Amino acid sequence: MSARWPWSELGLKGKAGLRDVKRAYAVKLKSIDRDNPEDFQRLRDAFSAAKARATAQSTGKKPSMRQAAGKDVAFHIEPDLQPIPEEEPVVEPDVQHPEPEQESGTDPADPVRQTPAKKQESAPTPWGASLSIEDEEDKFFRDLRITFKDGKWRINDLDALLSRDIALTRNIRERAENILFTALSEAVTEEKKLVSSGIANVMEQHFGWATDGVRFQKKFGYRSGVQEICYDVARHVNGHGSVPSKVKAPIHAKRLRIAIGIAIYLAVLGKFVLEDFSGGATFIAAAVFAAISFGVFWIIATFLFVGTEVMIGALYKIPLVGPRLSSLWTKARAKSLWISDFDAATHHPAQRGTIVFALAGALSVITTVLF
Amino acid sequence: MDHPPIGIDLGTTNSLIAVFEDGAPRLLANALGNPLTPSAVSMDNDKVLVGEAARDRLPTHPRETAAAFKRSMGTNKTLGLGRKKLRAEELSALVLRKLKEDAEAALGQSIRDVVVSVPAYFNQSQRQATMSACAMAGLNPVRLVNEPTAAALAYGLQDRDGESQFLVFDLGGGTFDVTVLEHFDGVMEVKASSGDAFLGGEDFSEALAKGIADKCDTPWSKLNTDDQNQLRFVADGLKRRLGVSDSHDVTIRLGGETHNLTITRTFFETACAPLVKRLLHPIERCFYDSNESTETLDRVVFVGGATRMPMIRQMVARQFKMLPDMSIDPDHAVALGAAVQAALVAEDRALDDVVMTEVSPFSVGIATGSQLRDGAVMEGFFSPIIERNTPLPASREQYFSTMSDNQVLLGVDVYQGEAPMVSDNIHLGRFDLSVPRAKAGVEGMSVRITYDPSGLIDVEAVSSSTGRKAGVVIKDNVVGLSDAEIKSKLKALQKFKMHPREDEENTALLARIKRLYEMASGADRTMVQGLLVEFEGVLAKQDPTDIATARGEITEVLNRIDDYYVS
Repeated sequence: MSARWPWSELGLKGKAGLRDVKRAYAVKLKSIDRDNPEDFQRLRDAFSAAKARATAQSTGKKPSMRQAAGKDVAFHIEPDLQPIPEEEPVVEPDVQHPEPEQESGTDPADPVRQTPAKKQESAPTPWGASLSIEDEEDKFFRDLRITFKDGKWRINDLDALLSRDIALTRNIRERAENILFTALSEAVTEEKKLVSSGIANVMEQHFGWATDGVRFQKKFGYRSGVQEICYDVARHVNGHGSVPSKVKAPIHAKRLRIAIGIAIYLAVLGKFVLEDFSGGATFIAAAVFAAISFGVFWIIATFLFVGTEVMIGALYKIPLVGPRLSSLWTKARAKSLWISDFDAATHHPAQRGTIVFALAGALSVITTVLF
Repeated sequence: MDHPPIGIDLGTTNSLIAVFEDGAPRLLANALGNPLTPSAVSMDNDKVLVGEAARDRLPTHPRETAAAFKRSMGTNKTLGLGRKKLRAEELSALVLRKLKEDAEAALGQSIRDVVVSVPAYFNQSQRQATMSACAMAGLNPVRLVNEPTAAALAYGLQDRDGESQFLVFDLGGGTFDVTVLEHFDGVMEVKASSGDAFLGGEDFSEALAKGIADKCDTPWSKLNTDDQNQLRFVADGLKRRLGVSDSHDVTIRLGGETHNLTITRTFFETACAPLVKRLLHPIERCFYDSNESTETLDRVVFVGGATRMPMIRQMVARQFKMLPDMSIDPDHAVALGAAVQAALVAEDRALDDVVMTEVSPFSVGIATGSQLRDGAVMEGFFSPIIERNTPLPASREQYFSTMSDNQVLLGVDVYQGEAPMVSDNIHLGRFDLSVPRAKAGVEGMSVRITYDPSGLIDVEAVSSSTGRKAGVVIKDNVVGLSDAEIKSKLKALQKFKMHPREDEENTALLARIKRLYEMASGADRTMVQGLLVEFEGVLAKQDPTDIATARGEITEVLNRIDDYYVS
């Protein structure tokens, strides 16, 4: 965000109400070049900053850090709703600071702690008014906890439960999602379990964890175990196609390697044919010799390339040599960019792989022929 | 002289055209006097039928007719049209050509520039396919507009100085979009869009058709294609009827057997319950992204013909605690809005003080590797750089570094989507950047993605040490096909002879009579046959007034029969 005062960016003299901020933004928006991303973004940032301040003013709340972080709790910041300051601390601790030991310890106590929070929360909402609905909610969350009691997940029950009408209400869904995530994250981080495909599919069906990874990351990204859950769910829901794979060498890099292999073999064969016909033993000995020499040269070449890095890295740490070396190194690097380009062209994932292979191959052919 | 850009709503079920004149958008009617042209194409010998007539041929000539092809946009799927196999783009191009002709007839000017609406949740390849379709129809798409945004423009123009926060609930024939907007001081600001590109009214018809098949004890999968088509057609009509009445009697012939059934609205709603549930996901996403909630909404606007279903209204009333606004016909809103957008592009003076800002419907990012907790390095994770629902134009930068020692190449694969693994997202483009070798994490690049409202995505990577640059520009443009290919397609499509425009009303009526002949049974069938003979006789005499009178009389009879058999 621009460091400038948001109100001056909007052409306002100072703090202003929501209505004035909007009006100023509208005027400014019509005057700037809206196709220029920098100008537009600066104006947008100023607008959202000013708007957040104006909204906070009107509700008597500080601009929420959660709003800046894009967390769902920002739903509660509404100009026309009475602020309920006690509400958030009660619900939030186990959501905002997921300390593993606390989570595992409080799990059985969780329903007890969340129940009063919910009652306060549902007071201003129009559909939480009658008592029977609250009872229904209590029952829902009790049932929800039974579905994964003692680390055993009853997937069919869970699916049926989440399909109930009451689960269609937004704040209930959100809470259910949070509870389920907490349970899963414990299983994944503490018991080192994998998320089963049944659970993955239920989560996808009801909360869209796999298809909407961006929201999932935004919502739970700061919590432990999120990467493991995300990976497992995506793998199960989207089938094996989505398993991230290691990069494979492209076909021309493979061909190059095969060509080098054939060259070595031909060199050995040529030596055998040219020098003596005394039998298979010599041929095998020559082939073994070629293979060993190839391996040795490979190790030497790799060591040279990697060793340079290690050596340079060590030299950098010496106080006086480091800075001088740095300028030298930068120049040398600029000159050796073509090597990088060659590597880029042969596209091998292990860096310098093809170069090292070719070098080792050439040297081993030379030694085989010489001896 | 060419006419200023017009707006086109290229829908799954119906397509419409509208122009912006004297400060207000206006719909243009087709040759039949109806603003709605069904998006259906049929081959009649060597002539192409588009619209009403083609739709009526769907149950009678399923092999020569294609409909709902918008759902296959951006895929390589081909649909059979007689002996020909056509892609969705080409079929859409035929519809667009028809719309172009209708617009030219109505305006008396040639049309080239158009603004076409697409579902907000269309991805880049689906948008590109739409652009290609326009080019193949000889049109120049100056801009694509998101359907809910277009609808919002139509509503916003009604009440220009108003200030409101609203949600557009757009359930069309094949796609579902939700958009939260704010409107103040002439600024129409899209806050968040979400949707499901494969959920629409057609799915509800299909669910009902499957329900009816089960009721007749003939499982859907065991029916042959003709019966399936027939049943789908009946279900489609039934869906409309059940919007106004609580139950309806139908007569269906399946595999030689005739079933007399009473279908109630409850039966329909049970069959569609899973679909209604699917509507909730995008709504939730939209609220989540826009930091809004149901309490801050002033109204919910209904767009798309499928929103007429009572169960949708109930669901919305339940979720939002308010009744939806349908003051503009849900079928018309998008086309009207597209015309407004066309006027905005053309800088019409009547819209000087109207500004609209869009958001990116999807996240755009690159593929990255990541070290898992056990130390294994995995590739193929999606790192979004511009998150979805960022106001456009947007330009964001993120730094990425090498993952292994001596890495000299940083491959930048650009993806669009929300899934955590890139393999489930849409690949947009790729380029490489070479960097000097160094230890892991020392070298790196800043990747900047710039996304502008016309759909242009510019990706640039700069090496942090050498300043080398590499990049790719992804256009919301006709890139899937080269200009030459488009031209050859354009020529190939021009070979398709359209049915003469003057004949259209008669062709449509003949197709309808034939359809009813197939559907009816017993005495009704004989009567329909009589009508057919009568009408062909009148046509042979070639007296325009006689033909018009006969058309009127026959249509009345057909309406009554249709009511019984449900069209």
